[in-house]
Amino acid sequence: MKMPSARWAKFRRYFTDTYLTVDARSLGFGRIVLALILLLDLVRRIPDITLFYSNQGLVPNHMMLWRPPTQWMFSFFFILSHPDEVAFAFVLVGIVYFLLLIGWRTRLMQVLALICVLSLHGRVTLLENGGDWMLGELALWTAFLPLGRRFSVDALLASLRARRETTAAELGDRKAMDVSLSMTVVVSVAVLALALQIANSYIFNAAHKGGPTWRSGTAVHYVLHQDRMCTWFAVWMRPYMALWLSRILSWGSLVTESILPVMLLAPFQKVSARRVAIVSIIGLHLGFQCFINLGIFSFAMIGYTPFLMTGADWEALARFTQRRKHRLAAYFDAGCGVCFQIVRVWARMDRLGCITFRSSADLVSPTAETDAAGGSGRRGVTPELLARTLVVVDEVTGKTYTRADAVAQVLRALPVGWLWSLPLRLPGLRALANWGYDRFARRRESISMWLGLAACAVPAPAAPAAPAEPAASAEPAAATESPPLTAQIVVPPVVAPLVATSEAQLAATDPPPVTTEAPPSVVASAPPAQARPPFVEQFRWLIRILREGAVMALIVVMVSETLFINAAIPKFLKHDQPLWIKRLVAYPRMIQAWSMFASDAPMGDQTMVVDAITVDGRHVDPYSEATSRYDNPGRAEIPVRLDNDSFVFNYSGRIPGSGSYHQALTEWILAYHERTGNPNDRIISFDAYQVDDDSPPIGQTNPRNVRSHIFLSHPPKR
Amino acid sequence: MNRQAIKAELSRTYLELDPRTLALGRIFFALVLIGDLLRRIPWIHEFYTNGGVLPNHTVLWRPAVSRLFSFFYMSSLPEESAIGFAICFFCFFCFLIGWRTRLFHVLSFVMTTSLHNRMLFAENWGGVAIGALMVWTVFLPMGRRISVDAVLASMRARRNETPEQLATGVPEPDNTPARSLAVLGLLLQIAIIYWFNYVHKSGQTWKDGTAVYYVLHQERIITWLGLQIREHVPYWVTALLTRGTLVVEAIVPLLVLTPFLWRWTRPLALVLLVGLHGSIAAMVNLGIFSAAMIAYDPFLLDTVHWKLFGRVVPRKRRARVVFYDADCGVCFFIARVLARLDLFRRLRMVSNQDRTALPADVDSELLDRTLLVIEPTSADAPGRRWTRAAAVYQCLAALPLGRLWAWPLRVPGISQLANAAYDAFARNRTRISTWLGLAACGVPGAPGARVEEPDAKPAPLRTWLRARVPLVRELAIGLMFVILAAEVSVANPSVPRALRFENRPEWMVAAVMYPHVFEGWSLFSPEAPLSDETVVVDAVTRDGRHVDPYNEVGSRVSSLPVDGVPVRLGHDSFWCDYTLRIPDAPQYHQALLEWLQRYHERTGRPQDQIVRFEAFVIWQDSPKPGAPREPTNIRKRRFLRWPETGAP
Repeated sequence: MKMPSARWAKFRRYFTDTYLTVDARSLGFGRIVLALILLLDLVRRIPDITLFYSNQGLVPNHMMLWRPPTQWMFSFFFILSHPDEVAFAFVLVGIVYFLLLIGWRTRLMQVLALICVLSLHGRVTLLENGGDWMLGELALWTAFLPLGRRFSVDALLASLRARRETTAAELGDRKAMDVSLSMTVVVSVAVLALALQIANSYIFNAAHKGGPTWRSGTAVHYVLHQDRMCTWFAVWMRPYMALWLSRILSWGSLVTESILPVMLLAPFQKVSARRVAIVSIIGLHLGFQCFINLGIFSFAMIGYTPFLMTGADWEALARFTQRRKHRLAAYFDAGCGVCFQIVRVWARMDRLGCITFRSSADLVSPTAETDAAGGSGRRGVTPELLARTLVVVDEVTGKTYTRADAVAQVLRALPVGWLWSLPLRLPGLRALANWGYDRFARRRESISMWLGLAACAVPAPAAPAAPAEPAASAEPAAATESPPLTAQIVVPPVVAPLVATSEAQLAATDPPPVTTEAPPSVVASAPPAQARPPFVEQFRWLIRILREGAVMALIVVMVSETLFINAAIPKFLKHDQPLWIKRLVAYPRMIQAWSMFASDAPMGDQTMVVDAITVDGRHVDPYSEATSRYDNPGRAEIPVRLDNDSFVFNYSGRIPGSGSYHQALTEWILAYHERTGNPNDRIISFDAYQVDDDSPPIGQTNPRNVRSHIFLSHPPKR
Repeated sequence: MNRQAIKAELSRTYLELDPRTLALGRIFFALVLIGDLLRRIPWIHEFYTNGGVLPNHTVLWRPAVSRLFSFFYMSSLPEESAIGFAICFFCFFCFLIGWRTRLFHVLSFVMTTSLHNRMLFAENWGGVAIGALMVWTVFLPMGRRISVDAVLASMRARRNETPEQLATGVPEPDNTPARSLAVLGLLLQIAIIYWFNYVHKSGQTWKDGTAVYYVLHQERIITWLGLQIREHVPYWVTALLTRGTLVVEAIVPLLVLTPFLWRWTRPLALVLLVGLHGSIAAMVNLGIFSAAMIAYDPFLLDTVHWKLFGRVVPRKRRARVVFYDADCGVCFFIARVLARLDLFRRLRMVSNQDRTALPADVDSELLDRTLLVIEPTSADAPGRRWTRAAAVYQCLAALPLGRLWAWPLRVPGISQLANAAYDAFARNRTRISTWLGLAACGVPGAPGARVEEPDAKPAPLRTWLRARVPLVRELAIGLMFVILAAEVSVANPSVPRALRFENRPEWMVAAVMYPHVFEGWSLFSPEAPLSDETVVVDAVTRDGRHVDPYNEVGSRVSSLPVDGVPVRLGHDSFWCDYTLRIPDAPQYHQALLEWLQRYHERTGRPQDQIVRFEAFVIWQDSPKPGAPREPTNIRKRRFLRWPETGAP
């Protein structure tokens, strides 16, 4: 029966609002968190550059290419063989991640960051875990979203270009500055994909945890006895891990993982459900991280949470910060071009409207003495003082600040300002900052002129007159990353019926008028707005359609891989994956196998040691020296808290059964003396052991049944 | 001559190049790059995938040099390499047409280095020549003329151009010579290549004039024409070619570097070099080597040659007056572009609104329906007229090499189609103009019309930074001089020991290895090869047949048994160099073995599965001049066998 069109429209709107919409602020915040996690992931690999990314280590590029773990691999690190080459590439990757963090040329950096993270992970697929997959998938899905609309250099530059203030009074109109004001939401299928991705991981991680340790609630106890991955906190906690506590934590994890998909995908009470989900995810994974080192896993999962924030959360945050906001009046030298430009930037960063900017010109206005809010004369703010320094007056306490202190107060009033104003408030650095400020203030005139700005009533180099007629539709000048004035409405054909009419949404988000008056003095006016030719509009529409189509294709890939690889899926849903799906899974590492500590928590521990004999008869363990807290742990037991990073314990766990890679291990061990620089360290023979033990049952603390077997020897044993 | 004048003349001689010369050099160079890419396509499987004879893991495990760079090490599968090739083509094409020239020049450098370094084991001097040319030209502004960038810059310089302005002509392009140390580097590079090739040819075959004779007995590289010359041309001709080669290689450095009459000696060098390499390419297949060396030659042209060329190019005979619909935005846009592509200034663009220029017998309403091209007339002879597709042809034919690509419009059948397409375009030109955001039919700035922001004066800081860029560039070139001079000193045995920079720091060695710019020039030196060789694989299939999977892929001749090196093997240069090196490269034998074992997978026939094989290298001595034509002293050596212990 055909649904009445009104009900259908209502359903479409509801579906769009619930599953396809994300606040642009969440995207901006999510970008910052994602970039920080990517940087963390990069930094934690730095100590392993030689060991795992160069041909002097355990995983040479030629070995991986010769016997690849998967048929389709992508990584530009395969072209690098020497540690210095890899280090150079790491620097380039770091630059890309940093530019993503600050949101400069964001779209480009999103794509480059995706290439970088896939390359970093793809080079060492032998060592990856679920955290690497989740991080890569986060970078992949968000590559389809405009992460640079807010809290970014791109947004700042777009705003500066769109409205070129010339007076301090114009700085007071914050709404006019905010070209992104009308773009508070983004509608895209990629939003749904993100939610599906994270829900997917929890559904199957929960579904697969059906073993006895989870049923009995002893799983957490056993996890704490994984010395290859446990933290110092886990070691400390072990003796106190009673059965009741282990049950609370084990079943608590299970319950959390079980309800999270519901919270994420529930069609009702979206705001509350998402808030619960965010808190649960952060709590769950911080808990994991306290006990075990799973590499980037916990951080990658937390990295999804900013994208779950709704507009209501941002409004609540704004209300909260409004209660605590500062109220400052900042007086600056408006005749100084560079000072005015800096103030323009600050005004845009002052999201909470804490700062009122006043110029030196305002001090000599007829209303200055009677201006209650200004009251500058009462606070000793004089034109002579402003000629030497910025002056900031706290309108609540009446306190006045100058020089670097004034800058610190302004920065402190900005979002997260306590963090970046901190250096200016530290005793030694404060003095240095004041010295730097004085130097800048003395030279501000020449700096302004050097930058092509006006200086001390000397106008800027002749800027061309503004054209006579401003364009009919007031839009900002085109910029590389400048966001359009309307809400980003994506209307893929398949979901087009589900999306509210674009005309209605456009009507609700008319752009604010842009000032195009001729400049009185300081800087050129904004160029008149330019409408795009129809073919450009159609081309951009086509790009949007293709982008959404690509996301939907990847969702199909995700679903297919989920059904294919997870044991909990019923047999009748299993299928042979076509080649194109296998490739789209393999190249971007869209693995969907979610069974962490499933079906059971590991009830035994495992590590690897090497007993090597040097030319002068000593027994050494080159492997443990490079990877563990213990230089020569031996094989009588697995020592407490090996402090392996995740790459090492994954390598240790997988290398015994990977005969193809034993030659590389052999060559690395035999090169021991080259690494130490001591000829007496030349290895003449070695045995590599896999060492296992059984974890103690609950109530006990000592592992049992330690056993070892040789998996590699040199010379080879007959 | 005073000091200033001498300085200026030296600068003109060694540091300056006409932008048209750079443009012509860019076009030739890009065509060479594209040609080099296309000739590798049939070899994607063998040399660029892990199913071939040089898998990426084998090469990375035992690299030919310690410092290698190639994006193609990432690709293991044919489709992955094909994507890489597509990217290479895109970069080379953009470089050819001069769009974002600087960017795509650098990218072309990166991609061509990747192409060559992936299969260094099978590369020859052609790749090195390309690399060296890249190193010097990457510092030069090769997109300033005869390029998309130049056309766009000219359009931007006159944003609000009117038909009246267009009728008087477009702004003259900037022919100010480019001045850089890179020009000197380029000239020295040319001289070094030929000088050391000459000096190293010190063996008996070059002294007694038999070198070319012996080269023509290299069955692995000889061409069909080379074979005819060998068989039918008397010996004294080859002796003359030998002497001629030496003479050319000896005098070219002088002709290129002399400060006297260099405006004439350099074109002479150009002619000699084109002749030298053209004849080499005609007789022997050295891959891209000859074309790469010819790509250096356009850079020997000077402004005076362009002026001379301009005088001899026919203008009056092919001059045309073009009447177009100035009201139509897309038509006006096309007219502006054509005017800028019209390097010989043959076309005069006249708006249809300017009726005074129209001949009296032409109906002005015709101009509302079609483009009209008229041959300028004298008082006695009325000029010819063309409309529609024929008019388009006349416009295109007036452009440089226009007839070459516009001739299809004159072919019967195609011309009718062209007319139909023209009519459809003319009928819809208003809509097209509007769609593109251009003015249409008296409606200025139709929705989407761009109002360009006038250029603001740059800030002093930006001006200061821009002024420093040439300094940084020249410092980088200076550094290249030092690096390559050191390389020349150690790579060429004829350099006196006292001048050799033996203990170079590691970074200088790496700077040569990564872009593959080895400077040891000794082609067919000190002697021409007195013997020939090839590789033969005698493989037995599951059904007992003897096959040669190796030569089936790379040679004209693959039948067994083989008693000597077959006549004119028809090897591609990659196969030729691989064949030459593989017998003595045991680190790559395993890869060859596995490739041979996959024979049946390539043929798709299960009965072709190889059960055992032996790989031999066969040598023979080339016949001496005057002796019977048969090679002598044929010998062979087995270098690979499977299974190792004999028949299974």
